[in-house]
Amino acid sequence: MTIPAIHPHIPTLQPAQFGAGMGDAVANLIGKVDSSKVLELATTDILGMGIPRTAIEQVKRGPDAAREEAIRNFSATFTNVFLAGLYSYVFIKLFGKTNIYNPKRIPPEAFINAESLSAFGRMTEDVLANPKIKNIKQARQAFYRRALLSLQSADHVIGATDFTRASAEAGLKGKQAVTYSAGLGDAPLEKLVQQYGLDDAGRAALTDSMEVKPSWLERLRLKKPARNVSKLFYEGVIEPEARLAGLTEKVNLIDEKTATSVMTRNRRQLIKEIGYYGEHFLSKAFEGVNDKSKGWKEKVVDTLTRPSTSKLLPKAKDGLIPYALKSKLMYTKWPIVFTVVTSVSVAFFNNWLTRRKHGGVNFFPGEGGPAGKSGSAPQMAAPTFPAGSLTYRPNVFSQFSRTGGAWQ
Amino acid sequence: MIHLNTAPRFGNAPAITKAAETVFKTPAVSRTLKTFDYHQFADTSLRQVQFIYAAVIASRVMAAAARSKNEVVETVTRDPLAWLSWFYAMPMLQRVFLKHAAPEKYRDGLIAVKPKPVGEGLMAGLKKANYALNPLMKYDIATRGQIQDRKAQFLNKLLQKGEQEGSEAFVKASKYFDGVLKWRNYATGLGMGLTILLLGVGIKYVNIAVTKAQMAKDQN
Repeated sequence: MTIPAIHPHIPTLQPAQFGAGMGDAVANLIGKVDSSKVLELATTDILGMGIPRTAIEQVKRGPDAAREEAIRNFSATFTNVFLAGLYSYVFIKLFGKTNIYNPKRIPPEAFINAESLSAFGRMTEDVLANPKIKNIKQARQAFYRRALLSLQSADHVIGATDFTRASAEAGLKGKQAVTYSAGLGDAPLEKLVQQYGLDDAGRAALTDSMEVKPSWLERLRLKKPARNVSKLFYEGVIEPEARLAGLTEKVNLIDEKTATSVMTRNRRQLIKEIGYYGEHFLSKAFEGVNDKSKGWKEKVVDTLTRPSTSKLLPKAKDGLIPYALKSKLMYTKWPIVFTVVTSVSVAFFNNWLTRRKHGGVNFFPGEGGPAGKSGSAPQMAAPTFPAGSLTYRPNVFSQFSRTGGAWQ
Repeated sequence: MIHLNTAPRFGNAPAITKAAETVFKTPAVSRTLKTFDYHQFADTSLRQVQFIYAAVIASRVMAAAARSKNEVVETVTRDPLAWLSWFYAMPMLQRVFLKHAAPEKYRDGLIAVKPKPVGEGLMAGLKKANYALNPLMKYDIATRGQIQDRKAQFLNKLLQKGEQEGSEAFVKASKYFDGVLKWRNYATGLGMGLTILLLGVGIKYVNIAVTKAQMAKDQN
């Protein structure tokens, strides 16, 4: 998706720039690799394990070894790096619409990072405990203010020297020099709080005025217009604001009480998560609550944090946060289990395929052909079996099978 | 070289409303979820990849044990090494490269020393040893995004101060950040190249040589 420059004079981010000798393709790849750990792993896996190892095996030890190497490495790229995420996506699409697994019908984007969710829940409790907060509007704004204030650039000291050096380079000294900020200043903070607090129509209008356009992938994936607007709004309106106001790519979420970092995350993700928490947790907890009645704050906290009634499944009676945490654990645990089961079978599939291609002889292609080390030929006569055994079935775990059918 | 502070800054933090010992009703996150949680939904997290790859390696050793002793030796030399270098070689190489090769002028914008671990006892001792030996524990490097963000923030502030886009100060500052970014890219390029060589070529050749030698020994 294209993010417009906030200030007309600042160009949008450029791809990596290199001196002579480095191609654009490499520069582009490096830019992409540096921006995502998943892409980095996939790239080093394919370029570092898949391709060269297969090529070396083909040249040095022949087609059997090369085929095994290729299956092993390319399948591992897929299963290690992408499959768990894919399973979780499929599971949430399948089970997210059932009454058993998602009775509250929480949408997928509400399953934000568990630690952020827990931290935001505590912030909400803390905000509501303040006697100065008199109504829902104040509480909502106080939460956004609190959450945004707890974000601080994770590179605070590197950033400071950057600014000093750049000022010196540009010939700026003393009061002229540009100063650095770790978090959001007062003015941008209030602006962002106002923007987060907008209703759907206000958001849509602002998104339109910023000329934020979804990419073709985005248009395909997000058909529902309402959801589209909030994602575009956070990424296209709030995020660039926060960026220019002083937050950099990696952001610490600071716990005020202990003054330590709860976690270090991507700014873009945290900005979205604050918004999604506001939409899918805070707003839902405020639904049907009359802030003029006594004890409305307790009611809100109860809707958010009521302990869950079941150990296994998320229930409609659960508080919103325990409900989401339990669902999240489900959508995190099972994809890993399924991925492990899938990926673990690849090595045995490799053995089976090589055996099948060579008439049932179990051998390691790295040692040469099927007649390799043990000297057993693929067409050798079946040995006499002890009485009672029904069929010739090489057992993959026995000494018998690795010698290619010869008894030892 | 810049040394990082531990304490974050709190310029405009609001007053704390609840007492520090207050127990929150919001539940804490379970250990499993904390470890394996997604940062971005449907984007496999690093911990998940590490766990899944470890399981895959175990399955490869089991499958190899069914065929040949040489294959077991190949697998246990190839895969755990690949696990380590796949996850850690690139960030380590980047840090070593930036510390020793980046020009003095840019180095402070690229790399900083993390605070030294303190304390006594076995765990603290291990941490201290890790800090001394492991560049990942000792150095923090700026990401590409951070450098680009700092550039945008700096230039934006210059414009707010009344500088023009083509002015001398603007161009010079812009060039400085481009220089920082260039060295960050060199570090990634070099780290990736060496990781690929190590993972794909180095380990494989060692594997082939060891198996060959073993087979020659077996035949004699």
